[in-house]
Amino acid sequence: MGAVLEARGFGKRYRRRTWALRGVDLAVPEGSITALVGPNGSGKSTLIRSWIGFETPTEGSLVTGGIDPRRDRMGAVHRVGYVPQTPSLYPELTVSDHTELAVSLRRGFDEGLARHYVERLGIPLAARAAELSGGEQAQVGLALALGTRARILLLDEPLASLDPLARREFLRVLIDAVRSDGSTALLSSHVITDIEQACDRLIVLGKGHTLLDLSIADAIGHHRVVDAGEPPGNDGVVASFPSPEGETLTLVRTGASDGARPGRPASLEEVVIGHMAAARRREQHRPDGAAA
Amino acid sequence: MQVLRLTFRMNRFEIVAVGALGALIVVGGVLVMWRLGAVGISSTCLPSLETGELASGCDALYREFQEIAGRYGQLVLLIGAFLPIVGGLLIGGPPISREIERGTARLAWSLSPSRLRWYAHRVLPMIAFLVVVAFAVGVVLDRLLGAISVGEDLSASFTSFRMRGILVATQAAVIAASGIALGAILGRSVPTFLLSLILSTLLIYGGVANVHRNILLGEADRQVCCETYEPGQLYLDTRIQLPDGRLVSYEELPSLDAEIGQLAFEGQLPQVSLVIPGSRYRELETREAVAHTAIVVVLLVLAAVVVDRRRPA
Repeated sequence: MGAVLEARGFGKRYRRRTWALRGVDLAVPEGSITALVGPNGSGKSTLIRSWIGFETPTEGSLVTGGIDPRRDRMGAVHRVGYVPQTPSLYPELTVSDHTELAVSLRRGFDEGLARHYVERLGIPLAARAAELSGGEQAQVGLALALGTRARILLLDEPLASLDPLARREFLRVLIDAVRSDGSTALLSSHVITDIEQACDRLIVLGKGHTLLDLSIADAIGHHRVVDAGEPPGNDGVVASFPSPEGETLTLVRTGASDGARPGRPASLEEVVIGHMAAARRREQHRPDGAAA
Repeated sequence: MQVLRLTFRMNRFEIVAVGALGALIVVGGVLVMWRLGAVGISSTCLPSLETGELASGCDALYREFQEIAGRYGQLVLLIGAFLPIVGGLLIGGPPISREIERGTARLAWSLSPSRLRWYAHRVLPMIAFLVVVAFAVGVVLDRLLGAISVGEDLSASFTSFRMRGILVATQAAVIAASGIALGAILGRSVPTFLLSLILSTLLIYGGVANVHRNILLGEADRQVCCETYEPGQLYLDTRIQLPDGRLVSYEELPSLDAEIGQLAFEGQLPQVSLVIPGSRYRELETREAVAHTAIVVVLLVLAAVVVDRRRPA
């Protein structure tokens, strides 16, 4: 399976000062639902916006569905359905107006499909966007992105404003849509349980770098957590971090068949937290204390 | 039609406000013209230009005419003078700047591979609407002024130049285009409103009018100052004619020969008015309208380039 989204040595610096991202190399396989996880400020939105041509790389290159979005932004937009962090619907327009607007802006927009998803999510087509909750607006944003029938979906933390039920409905629609037509989705999110339900691949970004890029199964299968009282051993220690109860846990990276090691299987959340903690510690021990 | 309907819904307040203002001026102007027509005053019942006296039996008629023209007619003309500014700012300021500020541009740009299509959908219907409204207002103001200025041929007169006719529409379009261009650059509504007012004033009055005045100074007729003033002429400047026939401005006098300066100071050199005869009104109106249109095109193209290149909020 080839990659439909790629970053090669990608870096983005704002106003000649801060690097939001630097030296990012990653690939999102075709047909996957990939989670993009990282702390605030790790550059997730920058990376997603760059794939759709909203940001220009300072260094390196990107590929969106086989094309370079810097050279052919129109081509990149044409290949992508995008759900931004904040839905930004037109408050004066109804949901139905939004689907009509999309038809007027994009040749080939499938208005029937977009309306189908809106109705499936229980949102009235006649409702004005200003009357919708943040979660409903995000769902309309998803329906519009799906109506593009683009082969690539970029979702930039769309779950943040949704309640648990709405999140589940949102993810159900997303999974069904992606699985039914074999498209690819990249979902940026902080909610690990949702990622576990919906995604088959995990990319963890930390302070501008790729910390982890594995399938969800491998991410869980290749890590174990060692409690405070147990010796974690010398090999494969990723980082220590506090549990919700305040105990110190240690994430250890193991081989796939390394079941004899101490500790217990790690949850996906622990894998993500462990790698973020490791990145933070590396950052603190960097001599200049600055991001690369 | 779908695009027009959606554009109307997105900018409902601005369209209703400008449409209502335009309708108020048009209806008000038509009513005043109708009432002035009902009075039926002729040029023989107006005060004499030489003596200022009225012909006998014209007092009541003239008083009624003055009441309508001076009170209601002037009010409509005054409101009409603000239409290009208010209409231009309301129609030009919000469409692009508000979309960038609120983030709706990001949604649209993610849906539309061509940002220029989005730009054309947002801008062209608004500009067209403004030009139609402002042109209707300009025509009504032209006719109203004709009804007030009894006996004067306004098609050959610079009376209320730039405040009637097609220039009302083109000035409104310049102000709107300034707002659109600044909105695309700034992406913020309030600064766009303020700066587009400044920019369009500079373009219309500091730029076009000033450049045009300097061009016209070379084309102007010379008249011995202050004796044969005609109402429909466009007065440009008064100069002093030197013995060798050259014209100099008062500001240039100190740099000339002291003897000539003394003669001018003593009033022994003739003063000459530079005027454009009223017969050239249509020609100069067209010339300014073309200049305004060119500015509108440049500003709209500039805005399109900015929209195509800028980062969404």
